Amino acid sequence: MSSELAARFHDAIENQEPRLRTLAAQGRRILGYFCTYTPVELIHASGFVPVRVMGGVRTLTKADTLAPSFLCPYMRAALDKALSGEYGFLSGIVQGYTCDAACGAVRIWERNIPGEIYHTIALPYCDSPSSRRFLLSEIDALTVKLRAIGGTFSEQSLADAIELYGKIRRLILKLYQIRYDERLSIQASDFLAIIQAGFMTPPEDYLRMLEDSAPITGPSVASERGGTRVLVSGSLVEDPKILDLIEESGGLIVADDLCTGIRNFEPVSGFGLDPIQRLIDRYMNRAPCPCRSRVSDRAPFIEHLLERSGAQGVIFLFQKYCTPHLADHPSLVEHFKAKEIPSIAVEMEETGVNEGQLRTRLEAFFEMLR
Amino acid sequence: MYFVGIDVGSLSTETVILDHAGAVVSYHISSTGANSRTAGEKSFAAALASGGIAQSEVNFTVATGYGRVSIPFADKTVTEITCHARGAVHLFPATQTIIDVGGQDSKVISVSQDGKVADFSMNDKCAAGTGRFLEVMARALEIGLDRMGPLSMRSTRDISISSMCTVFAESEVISLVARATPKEDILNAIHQSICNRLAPLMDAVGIRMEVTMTGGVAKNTGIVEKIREKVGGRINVPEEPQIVGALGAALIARDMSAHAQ
Repeated sequence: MSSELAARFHDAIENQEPRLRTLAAQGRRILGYFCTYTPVELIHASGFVPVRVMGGVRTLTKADTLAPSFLCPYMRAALDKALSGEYGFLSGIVQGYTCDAACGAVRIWERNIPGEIYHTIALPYCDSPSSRRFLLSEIDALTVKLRAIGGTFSEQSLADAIELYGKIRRLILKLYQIRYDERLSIQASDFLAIIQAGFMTPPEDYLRMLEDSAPITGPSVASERGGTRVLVSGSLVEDPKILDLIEESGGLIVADDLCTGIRNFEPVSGFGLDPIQRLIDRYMNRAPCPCRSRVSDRAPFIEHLLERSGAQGVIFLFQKYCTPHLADHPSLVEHFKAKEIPSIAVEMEETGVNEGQLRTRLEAFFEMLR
Repeated sequence: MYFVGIDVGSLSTETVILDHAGAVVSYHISSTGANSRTAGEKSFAAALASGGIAQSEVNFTVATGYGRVSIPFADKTVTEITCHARGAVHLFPATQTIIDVGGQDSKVISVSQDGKVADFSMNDKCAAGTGRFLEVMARALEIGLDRMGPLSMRSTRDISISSMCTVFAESEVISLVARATPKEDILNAIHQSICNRLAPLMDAVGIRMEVTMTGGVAKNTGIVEKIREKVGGRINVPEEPQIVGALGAALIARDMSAHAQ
C-alpha cells in the first residue's frame, strides 16, 4: 500500500530545494549537517535552520576529481550536489565528529563551496565528568562561532529548541512502536520518507506536519501486508528503492538501526539542571553508531530492537566503502550467528543497486527464513 | 501427472520433468539467448516433446533462475539457491554444502540436517570466476569448453593469473599466449583463479562435508579438482550438473502440488 498518508512528506523531499531557497531569500539562514550526532538543538537555538545534507542516487558529474571513489556514495553524491549549486541555500556546514569521511568532507566543502561557517564539533567517546566538561567547551566554541555570523543563542532559546525536537522525536518514536506491533499501514519506503522530510524541513513546520497526520499518529490501521519480519541495519539509506526491493522480495521491515532511522531519535532528550546540561546529557547517551561505539554496545542495542519488533533476521545495508560499518560487520555476524539470527549484507552505490541479482539474494534469504 | 522445473539462467535454460513418483522423465538444456521468456517456452516445449508428454498433463510448474519471473505459465517462482539445494540433496542425500558455479554467478550454500538452506553466499556484481569467465578464456585460447578440464590436468608448471576481472584476465592470458606459454599451464592457472574467487564464498559459509558441485562449470574436471584440493575431500558431481537447479524446481513443484491438494 502506498502512500496517501506519506504524500506530504514525499512532497517535502521532492520540493526541498525551491522551498529552502525561498526560505533563505526571506532571510532565514540555513546550516547543513551530515551526521545525526550534530547537536541540531544548538544550531536552531542560535537562530539557524539545521538541514541535513543528503546525496541521493545520481551519476556524478563534478565530484569525482575532489572525492575519490573510496569515499562513501553519500559523501560523493552530496558533494556533487553542492558543486552543482543545489545547496546554494546553505550558509555553511556544522558537523559532529563521526567518521573520517564526513570530517574530511567538511574540509573539501570549505575549500570549494562558499559559506560563512565550516565547523566540526568534537564529541567525546566515553561518558565522564571531564568528557562532559570537554563537550561543554566544544559547545561554547561553536556558540561563539555562530554568534560571530549573527547567531542569537540564549539559554531560553536552547530550552525551546530542546522541547521542539523532543516533541518531534516522541511523535516519531510513537510511529516506531506502531511499526513494532505491525500496525503501521505504510510501507518502509514511505516510513523513510516521513523521516527524511524531517531532515530538510524547518522543525516547527515538520512538527505541524506530524501533528496534522492524524492517521499516522492517531489510531493505526491494521497492516495488510505479509512477509517475513526483518530489521535493517546500517548508516544512511537514501534510496527508498532498496527498502521496496526488500518488501517486494518477501520481507516486512519492522525495525531499523539506521542513521536515517532510529539512531536520530533516541534518546528524546537528556537530563540536567539547565538546558546546556540536558543537551550534553543527550549527546553523551546517543543510540550507538559504529563511529562512536564498540560492537559490544551495538550488538545488545540491535538485539533489543529484534526482540521488541519480533524481527527474525537482519539485513545490513552498507554504503560502499563505509569503513566503520564494514569493520563492525564480521563481529556482528558472528554475534548473531551464535544466537541463530540470520543476516545478509547489501552494498549500496551512488548509482543504485544491481536489482536482478539483489532480488535473488533477498528472495533466497526469505525462503531460508520461512 | 507431471511436475516441471524450468531454470532460466543467464547463459542456459534447463527444463526437468518429473513423474508422480519423482523420477526424471525428460530434461532439456538450451542457450538462453536474448529473450528469457522465449528460452523458457522453447525449453519447456522441447522437454515435453522429448518425454512424449502433453502440456495438459503437467500438474505444477516452478520457475527458477534469474529469468524466473519471465515464465508466464509458472505456478510459482523460487530462487535458484533454494532449488540447487533441493536438487543436490535429492541426488546426494548426505550433502551439507553445495558449490554452484553457473553462467554469471557462483554460490556456496550450506544445508541443514533436514535439507533446507541454512546459509548461503553469492558473488555480487562481478561475473569473474563463473561460466562466462571460462567462455571468454576458452575463446582466447581457441579451445572447446569440454577440453579445458582434461588439458589442464597435463599442466607441469604453476603460473598465476593475478587479475580478478574477466577483461583484464583475458588480456593477461593473451600475453601468456604471446610468450608461448603452454595452454595446459594457462588453463591450470585459469582454474586456480576461479577457485581463488570461490574461496571467500566458501569461507563465509563454511565448508562441511559432503560437498556437491552443481552448475555447468562442474563439468570442468580441472576446476572440480582444484576445489577438491581446497576443501580437502571428495566432491560429488552429478551426472548432469547443469540441470540440478531445474531438478530442484521440479521437486519443489511436486511438493507444492501435494501441499495444495
